[in-house]
Amino acid sequence: MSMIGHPVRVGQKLLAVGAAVAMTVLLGACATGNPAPSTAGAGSASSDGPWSFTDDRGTKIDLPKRPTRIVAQSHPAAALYDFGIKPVGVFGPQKTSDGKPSPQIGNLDLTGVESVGTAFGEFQLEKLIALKPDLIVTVAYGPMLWYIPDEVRAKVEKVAPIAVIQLMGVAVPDAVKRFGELSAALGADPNSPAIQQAKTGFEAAANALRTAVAAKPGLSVEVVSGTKENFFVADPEFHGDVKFLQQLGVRFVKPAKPEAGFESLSWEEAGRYQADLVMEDARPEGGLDATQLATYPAWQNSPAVKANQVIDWQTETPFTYQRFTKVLTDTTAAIAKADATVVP
Amino acid sequence: MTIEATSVVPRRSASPAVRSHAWATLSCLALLLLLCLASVALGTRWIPPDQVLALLLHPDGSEVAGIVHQMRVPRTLFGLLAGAALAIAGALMQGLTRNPLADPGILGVTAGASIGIVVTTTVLGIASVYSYVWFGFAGALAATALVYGLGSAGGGGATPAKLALAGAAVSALLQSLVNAALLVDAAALGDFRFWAVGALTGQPATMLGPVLPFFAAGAVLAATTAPALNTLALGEDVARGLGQRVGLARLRGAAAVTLLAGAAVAVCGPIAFVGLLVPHVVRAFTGPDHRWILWYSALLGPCLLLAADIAGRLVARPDELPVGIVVTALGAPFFVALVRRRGLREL
Repeated sequence: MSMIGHPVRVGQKLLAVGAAVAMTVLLGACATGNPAPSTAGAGSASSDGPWSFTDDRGTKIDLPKRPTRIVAQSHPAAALYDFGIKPVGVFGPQKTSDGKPSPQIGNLDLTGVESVGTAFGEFQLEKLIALKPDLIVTVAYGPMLWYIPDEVRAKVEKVAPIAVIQLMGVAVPDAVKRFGELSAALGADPNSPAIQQAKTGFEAAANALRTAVAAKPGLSVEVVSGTKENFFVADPEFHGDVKFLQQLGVRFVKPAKPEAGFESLSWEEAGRYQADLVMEDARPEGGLDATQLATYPAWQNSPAVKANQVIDWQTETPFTYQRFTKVLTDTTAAIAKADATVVP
Repeated sequence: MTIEATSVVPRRSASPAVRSHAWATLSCLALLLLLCLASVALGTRWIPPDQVLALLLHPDGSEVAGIVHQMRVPRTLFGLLAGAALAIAGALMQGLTRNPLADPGILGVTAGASIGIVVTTTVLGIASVYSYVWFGFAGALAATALVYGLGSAGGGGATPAKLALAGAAVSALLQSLVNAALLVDAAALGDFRFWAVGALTGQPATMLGPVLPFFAAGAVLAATTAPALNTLALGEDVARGLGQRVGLARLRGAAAVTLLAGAAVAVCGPIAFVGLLVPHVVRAFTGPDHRWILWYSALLGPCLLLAADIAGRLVARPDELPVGIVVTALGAPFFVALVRRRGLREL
């Protein structure tokens, strides 16, 4: 009997691949530090001369001139677009199953943008080659290049060099800065009035969150994702969005034994950690929805669920000033009205 | 039960045989009862046995009571049903095809259920996460009907070789459709994968009632097929010579397999190893009489499935392993040892 070829969950659980764990330690140092100063290879400003950029793997990419034809994974494509660089091709999620734009694609207008694959590991090489890209951009979580599994990496790299922005353990502002540096190297102006305005809005939202958190001493928050198989508790150090909220003062429940971003629990053990406020995976592929979660005793009896203090974990939001500001304001609103004494 | 076949079975001296079967049955039932109790008492979360007992009798609405009533009791009942159904279906398949490696998958049950479930998750979306059972079941029924139709075409009717070929072809076709659908819709993969691994926790307790009649009908059909299997074991020509309507017996057996394995696979996923392994274990102590093989398969199938499920909860705490993985991990070495020791018995 042959089963389907890929017994691996597409999405975040893919990170639970055992090998990633060891490499996590290896890469921890570069990922948790601020990657910006050492790698600020902003390249030559002019569009004629030779171009170079050092990515977050430390790989120096040298090209005879500044790349103009970019093919990017959904998340960096959305980020580059918010900085004013529009790719010619994308890979990764673009639409949800009901036809709406995927949150990962952000504000990117897909008209005139070719899709070279949507599923993890799906790469239509002929389409990619036909696009004649100068540069391919993706993000990484530790050693894992997002949507470019090792099997296709060599083939993709032959078409064009891959620039990688590391997101594992990189707080949102640091990641935005890196996307900005890459965009600037590609010819965008990160100091344009529109971007400065977005940045101001982002910083104001961050400050508002900081104030809201300070007003709720003792408030604990847990970030979770449920499938029929498991209940996952997110490690705030791993996820750049959660890490940023933590930097702004939010007190997160830290799972005891996270592996590649999550501690995986059985549903009987799902009540192991408790918090006043729960952020639940909002991705359409993120497993169970509210009514399905409500069938599990641990969920029914969770103090936060009983107090109706469950909000969406918008984990697919691209790390840009424009997109992430909404996450900050939503979180601020939830924290402002949260009862911090739900868990005794 | 039909009469004609019983005369074929060599009669053993009545009273010692009856007594030994009484003992064997009692031992199996005791083991099963023990495993049922363990399945309710043990889990990734430790709840003291006296508390489990108290909560079982007087649920107090707490989280722990919920774990016992909404999680452990249903998965135990699903384990009982699916274990018995898969083991009976496996024994039937091996008897019908006279092939020691036969399992319900040969008739297209697994591939049919897969396509049914993929159609639910891709076309109807995630919202129908629990209703996939009926689509899986319908898929299994449709696929086996197709396999049986193809296998019966031409001269000689539905012979085991033709059925196996038709089953392989239909399964390959359906499996490629499944792969194609999953490639297009990545979101469906999660649900499908959960089902495909095999777990007793995929369905709520409310699903027990609706699937029960199918298990019951399948079990009755299986029991009435047993004497015919004994005749078939003598060879097709001998069976015909003895007045056995071979085609009818095969059809009845296939219907039983479809109902039992179709329902079990739709609810719990393709936990194939139960159907392969248990009849071999049983045959080792019952000998070739299919009436006893089916009876003990029905008792020991759930034992294997429950034991594997309990083990899966205990080895990876606070996480747990799906039963499909544990059954295969436990069963494969055991099966190899069995084969090496005894050789696969010719059927």
